[in-house]
Amino acid sequence: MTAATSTKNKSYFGRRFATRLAESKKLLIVNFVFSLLGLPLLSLVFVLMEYYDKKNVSIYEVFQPDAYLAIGAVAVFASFAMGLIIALFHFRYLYQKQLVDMNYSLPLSSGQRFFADYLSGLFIYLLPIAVGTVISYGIVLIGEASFGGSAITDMLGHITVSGIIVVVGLIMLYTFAVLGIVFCGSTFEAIFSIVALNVMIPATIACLWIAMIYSSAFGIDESSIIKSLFFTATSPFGAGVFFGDYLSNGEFIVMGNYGAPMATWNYFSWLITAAAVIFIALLAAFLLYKKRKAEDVSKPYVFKSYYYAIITMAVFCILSLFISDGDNIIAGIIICAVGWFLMEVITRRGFKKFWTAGVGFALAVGSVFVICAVCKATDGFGASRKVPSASSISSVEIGSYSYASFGSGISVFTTDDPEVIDQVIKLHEEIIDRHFHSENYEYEQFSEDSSENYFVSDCSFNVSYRMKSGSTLSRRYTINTAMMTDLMKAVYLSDDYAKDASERFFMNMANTSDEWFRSYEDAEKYATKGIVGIEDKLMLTGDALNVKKDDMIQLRDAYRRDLEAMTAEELSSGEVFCYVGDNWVLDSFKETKSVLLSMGYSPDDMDEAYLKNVFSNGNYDPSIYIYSDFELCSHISSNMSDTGNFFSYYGDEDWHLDKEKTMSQFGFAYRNDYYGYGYYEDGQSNYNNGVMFINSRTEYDKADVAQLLGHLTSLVFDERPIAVVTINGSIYCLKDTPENSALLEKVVNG
Amino acid sequence: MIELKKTVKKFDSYTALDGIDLKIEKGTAFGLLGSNGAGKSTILRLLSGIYRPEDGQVLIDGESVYDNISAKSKVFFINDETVQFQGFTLKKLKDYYKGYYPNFSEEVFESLRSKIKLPLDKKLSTFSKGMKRQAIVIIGLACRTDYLLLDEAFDGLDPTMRIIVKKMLVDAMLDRQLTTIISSHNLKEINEVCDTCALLHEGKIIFSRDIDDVKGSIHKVQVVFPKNEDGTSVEYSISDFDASGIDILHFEHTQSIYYIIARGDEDTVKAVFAPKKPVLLELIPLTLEEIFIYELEVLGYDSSDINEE
Repeated sequence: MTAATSTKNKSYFGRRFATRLAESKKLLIVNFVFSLLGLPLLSLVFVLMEYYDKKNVSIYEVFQPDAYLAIGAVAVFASFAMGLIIALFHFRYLYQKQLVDMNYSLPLSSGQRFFADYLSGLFIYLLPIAVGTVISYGIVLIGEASFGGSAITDMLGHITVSGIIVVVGLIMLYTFAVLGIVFCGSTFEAIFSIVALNVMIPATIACLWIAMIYSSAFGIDESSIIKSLFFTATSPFGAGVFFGDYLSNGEFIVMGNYGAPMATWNYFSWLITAAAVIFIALLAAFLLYKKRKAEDVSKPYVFKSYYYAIITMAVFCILSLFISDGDNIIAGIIICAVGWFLMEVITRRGFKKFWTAGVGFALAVGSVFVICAVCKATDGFGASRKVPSASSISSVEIGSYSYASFGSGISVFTTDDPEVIDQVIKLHEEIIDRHFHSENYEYEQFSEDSSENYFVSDCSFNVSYRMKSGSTLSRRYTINTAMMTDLMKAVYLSDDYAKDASERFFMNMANTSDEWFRSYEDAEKYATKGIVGIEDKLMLTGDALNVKKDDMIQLRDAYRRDLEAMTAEELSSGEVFCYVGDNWVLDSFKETKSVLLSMGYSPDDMDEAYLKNVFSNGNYDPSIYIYSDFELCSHISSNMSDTGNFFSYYGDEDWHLDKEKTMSQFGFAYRNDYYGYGYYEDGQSNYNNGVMFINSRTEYDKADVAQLLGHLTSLVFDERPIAVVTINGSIYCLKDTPENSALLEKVVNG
Repeated sequence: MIELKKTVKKFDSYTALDGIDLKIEKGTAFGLLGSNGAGKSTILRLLSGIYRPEDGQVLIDGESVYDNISAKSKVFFINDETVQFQGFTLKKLKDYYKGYYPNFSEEVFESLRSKIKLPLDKKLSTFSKGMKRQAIVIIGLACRTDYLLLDEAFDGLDPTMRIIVKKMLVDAMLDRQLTTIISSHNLKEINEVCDTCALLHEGKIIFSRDIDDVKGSIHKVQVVFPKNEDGTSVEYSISDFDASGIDILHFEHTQSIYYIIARGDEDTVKAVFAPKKPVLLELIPLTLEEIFIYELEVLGYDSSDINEE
């Protein structure tokens, strides 16, 4: 009996599903038109572009692809927007009175009716898009196969993975639309509700984020919101942002290891969270659907609390921006009031008991002020003081703009190494402590006032913790580079760095003017030969060795083994042997050195004669600056130019090393680093503004200077050098040894 | 059997049905009468599971009907709208309902359709109001549910078609014990089709009885009393008949001729007037429409105010 009833119930559901499909035939056709016009057209144009590119013919000589790309993009957008139309159509009996009886009187439970309508709508929405996608794949595969192309085919895996984000986003869009309709009982409100729900959720989260930032929530910035699942997984708009992040993660638009590929590592967390959000929205829609009554049709809002929640969110978004800005709060209130009362007139269909609208507005505005005040009082709801525990962290991603690279062209470093995670937490805690208890520290975390002339410059420190729970905690700070010392040591000593750096090492060899690879994987797969670009430790002279793939692999593996074998002692006291591309090779890197030497690299002796020879070259006009508060020559700052046997000294600027600070691998920090160099330029311009620009002119013996340069090093950890020297913008240190003191004295005093 | 037990239905603060009790036996043709806004359509929507009662129970064969597939599958509801099927052809509409009602009979459908010659493949939007009504009625009958609910059943039908539709209903009732509940302002048709009826006013049931009983329990009395010796007419007022065992709903006279609407059985009514030795005492049966008017007049629902204006 039960089985029979169950079968019968299923058939009712199936019947409803089938009849809804039949009713929506026109929508299905329209959606097919958009879907078949969108992705397939775009695919066709891309394939043609690749085809003509391969033939070295500009596609613009054959036809104008822009118009077709625009048509395709509009069609794709339209097919996505069909989700809203389909939801409105499938649940129109919730806001069209004449359809209520016909739908509610049928022998269906409300659950069967709701889910049959929901799923049939979803089917009509996604089927044409799926078919369009399959056709697009066909166009790409067949098209590229016909002329031997592979640019798009190679990316099909990534396209498929990113396509899943789009599908989830579309399901969310459709589900939110259904939820929005369930709240309402009239056409205008149903449409408004769909738009409002899809806009207000991400807007409110973004505005709350901004309110937190502007309430002095230390460490949180605007960009970090896109790393938050709270933002990206809770709305279709957020899904779009996540999709964009995924696209720019280096798989499609790779130009090196830039940016934070949040979407790649957070992919499954995002999927799970977004699926949970969809499930919650669907469950809410169903429960409200069950709760609402047939007679609710024609009411503007079936659940008034929803309406007030939406317009209060709108007030929050507008007003919080004005409050954050600190100016024109009254103007913000007026704008909100106009919108509020306009909506109230529309919703109430008149002015009945209109004074209650005023009370509602006052409560909404009051609540916004309260939220902003609480946000400020709690330092962004405690977010600015939050440092996760090591046990809760799965991995950590760190980056620094001033540290343009971590020594191997790696600007963003990701690891699950416990040592590095501990150092990141330690640094993070110190940063927070310095900010909130600055009175306990002798020097500032960073200085915005260049008149202090700390040579130890500022850098940005970005950290994203990937939590075991699947969430992310991202923060960004500006700190002085010295604070990075311990963290950088931990990074360099980690196996993850050895792996990343050796892969970057391989990339540097593989990417030549003939061939360029977008990723390490591509380089490893397709490279057949490469060039080893080697520079001496001061980057004054270089050499280039042509190598085969086997040599490249041998060099990569040797470099990785050397890095993995590197001890803390070797790192702290090591001297740079040479640079290969962006990678430093220490004297202690026996295997790497051995392979390089076997390949024919013949390093110059960085002795006095060599350097003198280098600087005597008439074509070479090095820009050398020496900074030191060394006791023998306090406050030396020199701008030297090559004048035959001497370097001329042009200034006695008030630069000095901060006595409280140790140094951390300046050479790597500032090599080719615009920001670091820019900082110096800023300091220079201060002097240009009239304060002691040129005080004296002295000449230094070029041989003495050359001898001094021979003792420079790129790596300094946990100690203060006696001088910092920049050569053509690259920064080196002179360690505090008796020999170096003598050399410096000789340069200064002759 | 259909039962409404202390059923309350509210629309926000407005009470449409105020704790009504109603029983409709299987196989009856039940007419729902009532003033505008009395709650007739609300009852039909409660019975078809569209509305959920705020209180009380709405039962079909002992099962609560709201959100109950089993109970709802026994009911087919034809409302007073005709616009909801605009996009359908008759064939499509038939297929639409056929899936939901397992007892749907193609044979019945075809037989009824051929009688009224409705086209199968034309969209209902091209149909007249009456044709749409015919279409949904024949589908309702072809679904062969136990209960057929019709709201303003004959609205839009021409006289000939009314007869045909009525005959269809009666045939179905006779053939398979179909229970029909009809709400209509056209009391003549209720009178012709139904055997039982209920009168509603302001969300309450005034009565629910067999139509013949209703008709037999209320009479229009035309009575002429003998004149006084001086030739003047005898003046009686309603109070002269108070506590006489009958319920006088309406009382008026023109000179010596009195027109009285009285509730009570025929013998009792005659017995009330007999002591006055009327010259003429005639009990004229009331139509259902007259009963409707006089019953509601007692409750203050009449046109007298408008006439005075």
